[in-house]
Amino acid sequence: MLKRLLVLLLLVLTVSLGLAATKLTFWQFMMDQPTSDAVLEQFRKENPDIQLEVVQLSWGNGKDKITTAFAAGNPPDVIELGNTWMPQFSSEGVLMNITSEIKKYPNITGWYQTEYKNQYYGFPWLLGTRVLYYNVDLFIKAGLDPVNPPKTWEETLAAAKKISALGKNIYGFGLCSGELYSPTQQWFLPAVWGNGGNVLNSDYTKATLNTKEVSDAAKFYQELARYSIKDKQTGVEQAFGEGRVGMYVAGAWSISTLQTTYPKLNFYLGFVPKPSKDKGTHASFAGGEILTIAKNTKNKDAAMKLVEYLLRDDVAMLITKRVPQIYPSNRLAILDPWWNENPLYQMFVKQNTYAVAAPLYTRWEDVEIELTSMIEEIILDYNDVDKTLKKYNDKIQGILDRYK
Amino acid sequence: MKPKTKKRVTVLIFLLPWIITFFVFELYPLLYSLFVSFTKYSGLNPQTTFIGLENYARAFQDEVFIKSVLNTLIFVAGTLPFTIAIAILIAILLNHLNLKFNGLFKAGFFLPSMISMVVISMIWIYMYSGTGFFNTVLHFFGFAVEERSWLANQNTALGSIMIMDVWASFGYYMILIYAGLQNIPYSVYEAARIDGAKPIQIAFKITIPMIRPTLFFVIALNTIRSFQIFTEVFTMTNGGPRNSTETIVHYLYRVSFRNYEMGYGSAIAYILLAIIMTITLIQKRALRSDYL
Repeated sequence: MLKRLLVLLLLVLTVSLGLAATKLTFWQFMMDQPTSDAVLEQFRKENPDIQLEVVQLSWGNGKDKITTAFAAGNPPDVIELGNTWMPQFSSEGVLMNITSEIKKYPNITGWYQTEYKNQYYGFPWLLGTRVLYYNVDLFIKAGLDPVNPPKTWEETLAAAKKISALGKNIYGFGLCSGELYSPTQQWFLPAVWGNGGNVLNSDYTKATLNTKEVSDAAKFYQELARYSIKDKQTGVEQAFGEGRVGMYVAGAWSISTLQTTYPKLNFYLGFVPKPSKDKGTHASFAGGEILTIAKNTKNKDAAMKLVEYLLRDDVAMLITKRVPQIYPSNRLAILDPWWNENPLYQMFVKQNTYAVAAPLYTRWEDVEIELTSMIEEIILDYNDVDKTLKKYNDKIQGILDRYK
Repeated sequence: MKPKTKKRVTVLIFLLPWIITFFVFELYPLLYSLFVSFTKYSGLNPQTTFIGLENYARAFQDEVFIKSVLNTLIFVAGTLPFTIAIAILIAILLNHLNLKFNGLFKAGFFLPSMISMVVISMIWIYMYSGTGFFNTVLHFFGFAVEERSWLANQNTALGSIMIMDVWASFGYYMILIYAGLQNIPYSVYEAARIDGAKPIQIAFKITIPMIRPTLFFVIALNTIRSFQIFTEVFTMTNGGPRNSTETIVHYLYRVSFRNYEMGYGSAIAYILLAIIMTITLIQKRALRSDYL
């Protein structure tokens, strides 16, 4: 009797285990709990057999968590990665090669961010870029046109000079320094790109800082620094909020910070200035969030379903509406009426036509650290531009040679 | 079972939780990272290539690593004397003055040790910012200061972290020293006074020698902790600007988790172990302590 009961119990257990839902884990940065609940509600309804677990990571240590999960051989099924991390992860061979999937998504843009050696390892999901913020009141005070912010480097310099002449604690421009990422991404690298230059050649074998395009951009940057506040991004933003900075370059996250913390501030947005009227582009830094699938996932089909769902324009727009610092990579999303109601955010979509991503080099982080030091020597110490570029060209060449 | 064996088994069972955690979370990672330090290993995929001592050789040619060792030495040498001196001074004051609100002072000085270092760092980031507390005070007294965070300036960043660290940690050592002072019997002081000893003589002939074991413990602990400084750097500067606050443990982290060179990172960890061990042994000799 007891034996039969046991057998029955075992049978019930096996059957129920077999019927149990596929467990899918999704690690991401962009959605807090209420947002992810709202965004994924439909997915959960459509796929009752998939038990979805969503974890939000922080930018501070999220990358470490992903790394340790991979090292332990137990990564999540679907992972959101920053576009600058893609080369590292792709080259390690831990992500699923999804090259054959691309043709299913004709409306998704920005695939180049996920490429490594002609193969693709992720789906571009959300994009973000930087624009020029300017203080309308300071522009009027300095006798500048408050409707047309500077479009070229020359106009930017002239405007910065006039604004910084307004007072002792007033600065024409805000340049980031003293931390990682912001000094290179806010404007230095985009200025180089807009000028037709780059810091590495196309196959990442040569550092190209000793070119005229880079040197001109750096000299402009150094000149601009004389009329600028030079602090960490939060310091620059605070001074801008207090109405003491004429212009600075920042991402869409600044809109909500400025509007809530400094409601009296009268600011507007413009394109990132280009080198001159007939030369160069309004280049800006392209940030991108990529959806990737772990190579050894056991739930490939469920993972693909989730990715397909998240890439839908209406789904991705749900995120933009709640976290308006990023917008969908799906080009159909621009048809949403939300954009017309939020013209400030629309500026980011316009600017995005000129956005450029950082070189997809596996050791980019090392290169960026060197570039950050270089920018400091140029804008804080006012060291000779060409000598400084030469010095760091050698250092970066050293990195390229070491990891050939 | 013989009573003796039974007792042994009981002891073993009671020790088992510690033994298991020691093997799983301490001994195994320790040995594994020693192995990894001789390999090329990214941490992302399981592939390891044995490269012998190459990682160790590389460390001594890596200018950022050398800079991080120097920064760490500056940090230790620049904070340890102040932390310990302030801790001793306040402990002696509290022990001898017998103030009315003694407990309140003790709790007050100890308070920073109970706050998470991340929280303390976040607060001090604001105090060091361009228009923060320190710049406002300097400005008030007529100094022309540039509007830039102290942490964004390569000349002031490391010093700023050191000042904060002394403030945040002396209270903990003060309590330890205070406890040591309480153990000195009052009769010794009384006898000294009857024999006509001066306060300075009492301090150097009685107080200091009698708290020597505590003092060694406090100095050794502070040295080890200072060599491992990480949280402050990670939260406040990320090693920058221009590597001016890069410390050994933060660089180890950067190499292992940012650059995916776990092998090289492990080698740096073992170099740090060697440095700390050497210095602790020197301290043990210098203070002639039998403790530890």
